[in-house]
Amino acid sequence: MKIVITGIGALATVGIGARPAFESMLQGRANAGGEIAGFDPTVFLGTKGIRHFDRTALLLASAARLALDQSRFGTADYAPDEIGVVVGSTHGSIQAICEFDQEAVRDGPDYVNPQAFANTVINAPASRVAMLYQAMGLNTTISSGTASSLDALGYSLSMMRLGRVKAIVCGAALGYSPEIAKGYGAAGRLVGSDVPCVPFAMDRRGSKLAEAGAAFVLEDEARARSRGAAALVEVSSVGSAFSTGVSGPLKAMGETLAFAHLDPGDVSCVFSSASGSPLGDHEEGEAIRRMLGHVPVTASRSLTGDCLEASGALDVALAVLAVEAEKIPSIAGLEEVDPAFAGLDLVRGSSRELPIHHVLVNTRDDSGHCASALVSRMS
Amino acid sequence: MTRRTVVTGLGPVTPIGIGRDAFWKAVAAGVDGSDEVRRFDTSMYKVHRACEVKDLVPPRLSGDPGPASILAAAATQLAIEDAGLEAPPGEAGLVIGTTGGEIPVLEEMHRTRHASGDDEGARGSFSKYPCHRIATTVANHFGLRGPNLVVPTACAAGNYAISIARDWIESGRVDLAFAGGADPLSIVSFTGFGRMFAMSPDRCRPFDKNRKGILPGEGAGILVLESLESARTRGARIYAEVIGYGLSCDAYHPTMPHPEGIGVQMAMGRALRDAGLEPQDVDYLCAHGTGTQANDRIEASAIQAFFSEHTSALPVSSLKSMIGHTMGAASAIEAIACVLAIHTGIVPPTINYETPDPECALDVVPNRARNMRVDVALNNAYAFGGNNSSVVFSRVRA
Repeated sequence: MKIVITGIGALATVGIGARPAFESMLQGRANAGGEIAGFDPTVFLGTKGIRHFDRTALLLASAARLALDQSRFGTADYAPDEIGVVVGSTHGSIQAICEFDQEAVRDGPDYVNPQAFANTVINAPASRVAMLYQAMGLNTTISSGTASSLDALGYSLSMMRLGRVKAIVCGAALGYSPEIAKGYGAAGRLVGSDVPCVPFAMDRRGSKLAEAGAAFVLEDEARARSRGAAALVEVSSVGSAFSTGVSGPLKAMGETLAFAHLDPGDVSCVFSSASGSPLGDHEEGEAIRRMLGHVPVTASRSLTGDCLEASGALDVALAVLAVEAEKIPSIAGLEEVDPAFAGLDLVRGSSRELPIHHVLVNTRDDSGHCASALVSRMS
Repeated sequence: MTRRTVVTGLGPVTPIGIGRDAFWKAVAAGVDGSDEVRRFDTSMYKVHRACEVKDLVPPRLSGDPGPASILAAAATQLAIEDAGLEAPPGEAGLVIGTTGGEIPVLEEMHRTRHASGDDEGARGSFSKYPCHRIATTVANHFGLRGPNLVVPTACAAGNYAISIARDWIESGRVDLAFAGGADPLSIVSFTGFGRMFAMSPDRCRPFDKNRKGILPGEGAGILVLESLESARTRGARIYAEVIGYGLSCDAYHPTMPHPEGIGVQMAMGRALRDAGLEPQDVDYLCAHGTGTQANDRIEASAIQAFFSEHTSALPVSSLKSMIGHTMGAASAIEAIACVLAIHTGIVPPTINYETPDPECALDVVPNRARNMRVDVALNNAYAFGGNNSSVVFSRVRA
């Protein structure tokens, strides 16, 4: 079974819609992170039925709407029980969880908003999306830190290959959360907006939190073709590993290539998850060098900010457009490269044009969760 | 030949017993695990009871993890011992379901902040919250380097975890995996269910006419799942086989089940089809049975519709009458009960059952466990978001 993406949707600080975000990336327009300015969920979702959605669910549902629209997904194409929703999330609707609990602490348990309680379960955004789009096939949320969205994609592939559902809306979102900013700020993982956070840069010190939502419609190529939908790319494989150090990304990339029956030389370029983290960038960069050698590498986080579990999904959306445009965007703001990465072909300055067949998208979490996905041009 | 998945180890950490024997003895005796809440002050609440895990001696974990991780690690330790594994294989997979994960970490932060007006100190613990940390902590403690996931699909999460581990094994990705669920008692959940008036002030009475709601519980359940070949090669005791699962989503309401239980029936149908069985092949059904008016009524009518004339011959019980609603751990613990029902020939009772409800006309195995042969057990679990799951266990066929 050839599993293809027939629609992508993305909302990021650098652009609302996958294409605007990709154009910003091509222009190297760096962004300071935070919230998506001008995000109006009613544009995508209307006003009905979304009153109790938290921001993460709004971003996810909006991205799903864009993806479904692009794939021209009609109610006649699939029965509700053939459609699944699979979401990568590790923080859930954390801001909503914190606000619910803080309200109980401040005002007492009788004064919390009972409607907000539904948002405190980690799978709340996934179930909101299922309700909006009547996806009854299955509804699964997968957590593996910042690798969550690619592990969700891997789970989606396996559910489709097992025939459990025929189409999946897969994605991830993270609404901007002051609680996360404070929490990881205190842990030293995130830096303030005045500190540089360029992937692979000499003076990188951490990443900047930003919100995003990204989703894709996955279908069997034959079924997509029979309903007249255009396949944008094939998702050839997803591999994952649980291992700290260089071996994590090495194993995840290796499994991805093995599942796709491809060799390292077949990879046209890499969307790295390097985010400006001193250790993380080093481990992934070294793994890429060892496995793939001198392959063009880009990274989106200096542009999009670090969207944690949503970043991997956002990168998949950007990779789809890179395949279409045959252009690899540069790493925004990368001037002085850390000499440790001398062996890497980092795309700097301006975007690079070249034939793209297979894009490897990486995610890596400090916990050791690593997942990679291979997005391929339709053959 | 397709690979088969068997259960070779059980690690229950529950309010009525820790470890296989203590747990099963309490189930067979119909012990009620409810008590006054000890973990936090309930004086601001209208109800004060829950089912907490008592006298747990947890494994010593590095990094001061949150309570969900501790419960999961304790259950994993028990499962390892029960499976007769001296050391778990390093390539073993691990998948843990949860509803709220480490929410108590946030709860503590908020209360520290409220009391002192300053949360600088408390913020440092934030990194313990993200729910994948549960699987990270357990895997690191036991040296498990295989596939590693948390599946936060709320109160059906244990069943989801088992389904994922089964797919890993049957696809040949791993030979052995630990799968289950964990959730500590959470103030957020206590508050939320209280505000929805969904909590019983005293006992949990699933399917009883006078049922008053859930009793929040806590716990963990981990099962060792293994390929049949691997289990036979190492001469392991095989409790049962996982022969099918089915998932579905109501896509109807964030907290309420679909009034006609369409998704519930779809999940059961898919699970039995996956197992190659018919409804009349099911000997025991471990119900979701939360003890709320809505859940039990809808679940009972969905069971009646699905099993039709077989319903009267089908024992259906709710473990939640004894251990409360242990959220993401519930269906993992209930899966352990299904496996032990097959293995021991004892079917768990629904305790606190006094007044039959015509709208829940089921054989709920009232108040006393029943001795009977069980070859096939079906485990149902449902969740917020309309997530439905059913897993089928059977006696291992030759």
